[in-house]
Amino acid sequence: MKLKLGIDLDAAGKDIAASIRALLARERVLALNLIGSPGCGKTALLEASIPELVKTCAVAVIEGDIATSRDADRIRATGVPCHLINTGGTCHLPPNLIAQALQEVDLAATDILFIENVGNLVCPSTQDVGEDAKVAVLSLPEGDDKVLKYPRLFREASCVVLNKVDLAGVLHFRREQLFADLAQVKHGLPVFELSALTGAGCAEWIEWVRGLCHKKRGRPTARSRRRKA
Amino acid sequence: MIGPFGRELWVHELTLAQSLVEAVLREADSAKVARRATSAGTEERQVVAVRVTVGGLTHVEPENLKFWYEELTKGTRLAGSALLVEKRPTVVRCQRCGGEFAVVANSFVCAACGVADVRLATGDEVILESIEVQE
Repeated sequence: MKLKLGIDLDAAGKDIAASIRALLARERVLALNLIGSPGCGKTALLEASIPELVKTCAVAVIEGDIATSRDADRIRATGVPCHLINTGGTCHLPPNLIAQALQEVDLAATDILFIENVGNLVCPSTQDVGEDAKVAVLSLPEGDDKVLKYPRLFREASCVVLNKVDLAGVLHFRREQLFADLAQVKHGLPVFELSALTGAGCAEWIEWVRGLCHKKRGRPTARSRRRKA
Repeated sequence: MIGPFGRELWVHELTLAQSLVEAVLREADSAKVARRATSAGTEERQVVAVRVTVGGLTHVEPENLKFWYEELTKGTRLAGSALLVEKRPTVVRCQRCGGEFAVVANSFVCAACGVADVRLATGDEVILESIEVQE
């Protein structure tokens, strides 16, 4: 006897992601999920962006790491609240851990929530955590061949940050290969070529984030409301 | 998080196999199929086969899923049931011409329009399609 079922085995995860998305819509908080390899510069990107963003927006961060509070300590040094999730071994942040972490985030006082995922090009790309956009962070030393090797990330991403462009002179990174591969995977994906270390090119990326924030938040931002209060 | 074998739960197919086993048991235990009549009364109906389809974008490896399914069902009423996993292609819809096509070799470029301006139609799902139980 055959029983036809059609049961989605990831229904639980999708339900949690949907409730996170609804919560962030209600609170009008922009959530950006940063995904990239270990060492590509996700934390450095935040360190370079936060001081600029906090001039007009209130920023909070959820840090995902297998172990240590090293990244979280760096973020806290910028002065914004940071909630650390040590996954213990899990290679990505699943939606249930994000939902749990959100209970610790003061959403009413937040305009932009960055989620820095565990360093990994594979697993985080398959997880919907209720974010507004996934950001693929890639750096020159990783090579120009990553887009087709990890296509799902670049399919899911709403933009690409290409970090460490200050190293272009000493690496054989074929920029045209990257763009050709991106065209094969997703048309029209914005690419921000920058160096989080020197600050070169960061302004366009920061403007992109700020634009998304204003679109979601409207004015006034939590930051400017707090200033008035 | 520690899994049933004292290992950390980093194996995605293990986590998935756990949801699968739970879902199969829930269905197999449902009132309409749980037991069958025999000359001596009733007995538990055996689950013979379980069919799952896996979308091309999911990163789920069928052999790995089968391995964990077998491990998790040892000593349960599902022991010995066959897990059949079918990998489904990733299908996308072109936003320009509306045409649907299967993604081959990670190219999302529409052959008619020459541009990868597409939305996912199917490919991100893991579906428990059906179970087969004893008559």
